[in-house]
Amino acid sequence: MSPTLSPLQSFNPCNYLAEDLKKNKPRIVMSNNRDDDTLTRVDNSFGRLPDHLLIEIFIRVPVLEWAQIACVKKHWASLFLGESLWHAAIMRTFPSASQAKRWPGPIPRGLSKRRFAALYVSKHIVALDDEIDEIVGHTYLFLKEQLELSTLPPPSGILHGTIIDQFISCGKSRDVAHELASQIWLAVLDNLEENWHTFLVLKRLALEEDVFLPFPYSRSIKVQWRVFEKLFIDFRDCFSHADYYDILGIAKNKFQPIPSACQIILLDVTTSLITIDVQEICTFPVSASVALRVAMESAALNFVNATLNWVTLALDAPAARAVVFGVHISGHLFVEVLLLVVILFLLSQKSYKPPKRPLTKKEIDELCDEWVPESLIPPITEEMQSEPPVLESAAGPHAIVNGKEVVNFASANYLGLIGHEKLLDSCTSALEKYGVGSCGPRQFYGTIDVHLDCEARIANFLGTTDSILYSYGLSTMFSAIPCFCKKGDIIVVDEGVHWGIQNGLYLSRSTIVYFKHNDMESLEKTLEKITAKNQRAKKLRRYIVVEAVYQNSGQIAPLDKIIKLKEKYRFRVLLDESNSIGVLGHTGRGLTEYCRVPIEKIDIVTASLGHALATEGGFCTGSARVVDHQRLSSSGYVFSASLPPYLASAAITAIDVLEQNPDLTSKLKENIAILWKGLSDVQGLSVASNPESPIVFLQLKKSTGSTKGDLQLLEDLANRALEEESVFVVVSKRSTLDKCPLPVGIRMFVSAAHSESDLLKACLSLKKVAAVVLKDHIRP
Amino acid sequence: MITIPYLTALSTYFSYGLLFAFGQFRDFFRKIFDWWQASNLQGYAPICLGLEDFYIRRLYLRIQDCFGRPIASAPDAWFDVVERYSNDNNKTLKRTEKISRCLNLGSYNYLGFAAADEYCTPRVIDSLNRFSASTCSTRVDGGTTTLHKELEECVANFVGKPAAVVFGMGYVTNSAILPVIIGKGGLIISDSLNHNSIVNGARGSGATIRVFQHNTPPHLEKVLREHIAEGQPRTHRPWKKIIVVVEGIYSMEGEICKLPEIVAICKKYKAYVYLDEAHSIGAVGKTGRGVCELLGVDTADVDIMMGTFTKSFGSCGGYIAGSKELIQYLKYTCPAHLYATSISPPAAQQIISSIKVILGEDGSSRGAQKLSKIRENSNFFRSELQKMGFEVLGDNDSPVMPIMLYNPAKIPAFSRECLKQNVAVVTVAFPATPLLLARARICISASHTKEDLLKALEVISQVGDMVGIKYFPAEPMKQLQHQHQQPGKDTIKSE
Repeated sequence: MSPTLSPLQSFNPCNYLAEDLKKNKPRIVMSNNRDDDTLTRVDNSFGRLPDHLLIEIFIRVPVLEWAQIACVKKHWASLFLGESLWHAAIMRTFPSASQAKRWPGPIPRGLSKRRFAALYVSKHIVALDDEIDEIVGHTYLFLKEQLELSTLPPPSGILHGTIIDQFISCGKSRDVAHELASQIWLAVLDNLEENWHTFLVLKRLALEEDVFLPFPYSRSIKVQWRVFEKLFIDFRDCFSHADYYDILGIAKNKFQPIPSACQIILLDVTTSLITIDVQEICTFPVSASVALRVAMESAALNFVNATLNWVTLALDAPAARAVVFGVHISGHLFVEVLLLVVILFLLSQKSYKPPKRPLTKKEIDELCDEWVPESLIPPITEEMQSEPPVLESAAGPHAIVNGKEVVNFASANYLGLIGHEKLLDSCTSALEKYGVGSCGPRQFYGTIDVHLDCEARIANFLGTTDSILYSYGLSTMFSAIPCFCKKGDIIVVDEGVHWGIQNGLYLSRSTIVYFKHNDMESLEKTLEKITAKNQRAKKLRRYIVVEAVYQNSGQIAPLDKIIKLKEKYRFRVLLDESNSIGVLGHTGRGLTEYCRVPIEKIDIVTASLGHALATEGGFCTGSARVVDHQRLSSSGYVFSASLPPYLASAAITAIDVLEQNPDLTSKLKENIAILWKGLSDVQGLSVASNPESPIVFLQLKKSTGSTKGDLQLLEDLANRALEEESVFVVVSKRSTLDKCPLPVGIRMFVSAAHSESDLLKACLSLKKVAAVVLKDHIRP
Repeated sequence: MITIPYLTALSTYFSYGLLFAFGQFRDFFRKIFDWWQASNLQGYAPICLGLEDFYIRRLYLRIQDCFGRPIASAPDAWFDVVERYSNDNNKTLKRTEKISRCLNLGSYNYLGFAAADEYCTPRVIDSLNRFSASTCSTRVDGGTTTLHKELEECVANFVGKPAAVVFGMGYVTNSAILPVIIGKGGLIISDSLNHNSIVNGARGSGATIRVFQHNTPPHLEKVLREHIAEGQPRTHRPWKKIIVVVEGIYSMEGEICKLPEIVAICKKYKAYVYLDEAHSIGAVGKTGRGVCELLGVDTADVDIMMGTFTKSFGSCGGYIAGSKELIQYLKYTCPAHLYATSISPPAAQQIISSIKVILGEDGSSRGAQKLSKIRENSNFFRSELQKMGFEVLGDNDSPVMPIMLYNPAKIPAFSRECLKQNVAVVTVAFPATPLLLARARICISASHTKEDLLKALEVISQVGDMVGIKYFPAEPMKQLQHQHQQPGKDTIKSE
């Protein structure tokens, strides 16, 4: 009973078959004589069957039985020696096997019987994934024959080379060839019979000297290891003492030392293999791969191991052959225990960290004393000291500044509702009923019925389901945006948006991409780039943020084109209608009406009430979901006191007035046209705004080269216009926080309440002043 | 610090766990139905992501009726609360025409200027007629009227600083000023319970933000020392400047800032002090000048004084007061000054008039009376609540007194029960406070009479017993005294 007989070998019918058929013919004859009786009986039924039928029957019998069948009758045995049976068997068992007659390479293909055996081997012994490779089987047979049959087999290098050549000539890659060859070697080594011949062959293989060969021809370390493994495990008893130490020495040389960790793992192995000296086994690698890795490691480890070996030997001498509880105590065990103790000791230590020396109290005191903060604000320069003109009356179309009546183009009183009687009346009654302030945020008794009425009125006016009131125009955008955009979302935004939007974008922490001011091509390119580049963009919320009428340039956004792009690229639109509500469209419903876009297409609309509607605050409108979400997530809504009720009631009245007087918007449109025409030929200035925008934006034709210089010049112009001509126009000032790249200019807010003479006067005055102020600027 | 009782914490966690579990369960079914109905998103990502509004859908909507109750009158001592009803389990609330007259314990009407005032209202209406409701323009353009000039002088004078600038909204004041005065390379050290507007302003500034334990000067000192020594993160450059931001009265805790200690520390470490007096200006101090006056801090030591007009003055807007240079710089570059509509003239007039009343410049002693009344009212109400065994936060003299509720179920219970007995209280839950520390907040006004307060105490005590929020044992001695004062009410108190 051999402990090494692998299960594969014991159930290997092919071995059995191939050998028996070839060698043990006498057995057939013997059985022939003995079972004469049965034979005649069989003869009765089978005897007269023609050969081809018999073959058909035999090949359907399980392979394991074939040897027995061959023993039944001489004729049947001869059938098994013939070609036709095997051919038929191949056809039946391996229908996919190639029918080609020859192939390249040194290993012959042989007759059908051999082919059958080869196919059988590739299927059952050499484990390949699914496909049956006939060459593998042939190679296996070839190698096995060479090792078993020849008394003096060629050196393993040659055999291995032949196999590799065969594989390569059959079109396998070098890696695959090497891998297959190793597998075949292992399979053959495992399936060698356990006899003296095999021992000699293995010994020869073990004693062979290493010859360096390039990659596919070098024998894998796994195979070499298996040779030694077999020798030391299966053929232990065959060794003479001298042989044993010879082979051991070679093994030690071949398989370079192993790290101590492996030795400890090997402790387990040592106890199970008692008869082999613990010391020797332990120097063997656990596996070939470990050995390979280790072999590649530095020489330092070799040195350590050599020392270890020396120590082992030194310690081995005194305690040689001591046995405690059946375990041989050798020097090696001492070393191992020592190592274990060292490892445990090291593990118990804290990992090394550079000592952290915190600053001492004195050092911190010194640092604090030394630290000099910057002043809270930069030094005040002259430009910072300019004071705006102070109005002594309401900011209507005609206001009083410094005791002088001036034409006011500084207030966005587009519909002329400042001082409107109905508004004043509604404010007065609200003030009397509700007081001035609301004294609380909306959630905490700051909701007054006029707020709800106002929200409903706005929604009703614009045709949305609901709206939400903010207590300040500026806070509307920068509270609403962070509600719907979070980190990771994508916002595509016009570079000319005002600071309220910029701040909202910053607070949202989304990814922000700017496109050129009011340039639809640039917008399309940007959208294309974002959606094409980013597959993940589909799952993110994506927004386009634009202003209806840009406060910074007076341009009007082409909403119809934006909607087309938005639908193409699936973006949502956030639209700030601060300067267009009450202005654009026939009935003043803003940009959506002006561009004939249904308001449902715009997801979020925000606006300030402080322009055309002549009150204060802001609102956001959209679907019910958009509005409801803000009621608890919008910081400017939740954490701020609500809009003073009198301003909400003024907003309601303003919308009523607007609806009752549709001529307000048409009057405004006329006024814009007059002013636009009048200003189109001012020396040194050009009108940069849209002809229908209520903000008429005058820009320097030729910039001085710096924003500061431009501002200075325009400021001078505006001051002179106010002082000498009593026309109140203002320059678009920029905060240092504002990132808007657009040029500065003079901004004139046209009102429906301006009379034609006001407008003509303004045009004339500006021309006059510009000719004086810009004289030096234009000429050189 | 609020120390939540062990058992209460456990039951609160359990309640939220239960609510959360049910919410998730319902969401699961909703998801199935949504899937069934096929999405109508057409390639858009959902506008509110699933968990983003989970809290609103599954927790807040259930008790929606306790928040945002509309009123139909001025938020004076008594006001008209509009009744609402719901047909779909509180998902939407519909307004009715019915109103109930309730005692107002929720509005920040500290000095009682919310309602029409004999001195203020006529002047407000005058200025409305003169200047209209809005200027439709920004302060730097055409939005500065003589009224605005007067207001700024008046505020600077009242607060005790050389100059001031006013804005139309308190929230914007904070969130637009901080980015102007500090930026990258600066450090903002903020009290952990500062108002959201400060948090937003600090975020918008780009400066590094550090937090110190709520109202704990020693911790502030520790943070300051640590950060000055360490410098900016990674580069270890010294900070450009450090601003310490504190509030005068913390609106959700009712605590008064430990300003003298904080100012001393900031002086020692050369940090600038930013004081937000949203709730304290006008409400505390001998002449209503806020915490500086109350605690005896020289206003010169506070670099930036911010405050709002929404509360004590019954108007809207906010101010920044500081040195002349600071204000000049703000007027030059602050976006809220440059881009926002200027404060509405009638609101400005209301502030001017109310300050005149407070200072006695109207020729009467009403201002002084109001100030002493609010102090008396607050201290009386606070001590009575504490005697009853409520867990009341905050300091004496502060008109804000939160009563701890903790459990989520007690929020609607307390609010609804009080409303049933015509006392309107504010309950505060998650977005405004930490999840566990739900509370009811009572704001006392100078316009409350003694009878009002006694009624409120009686109702709150009764509801408190019912809801189980008297976390401390009552004080028996005082109860007797209380009974003595109100012979008819002993049935309620005897338990």
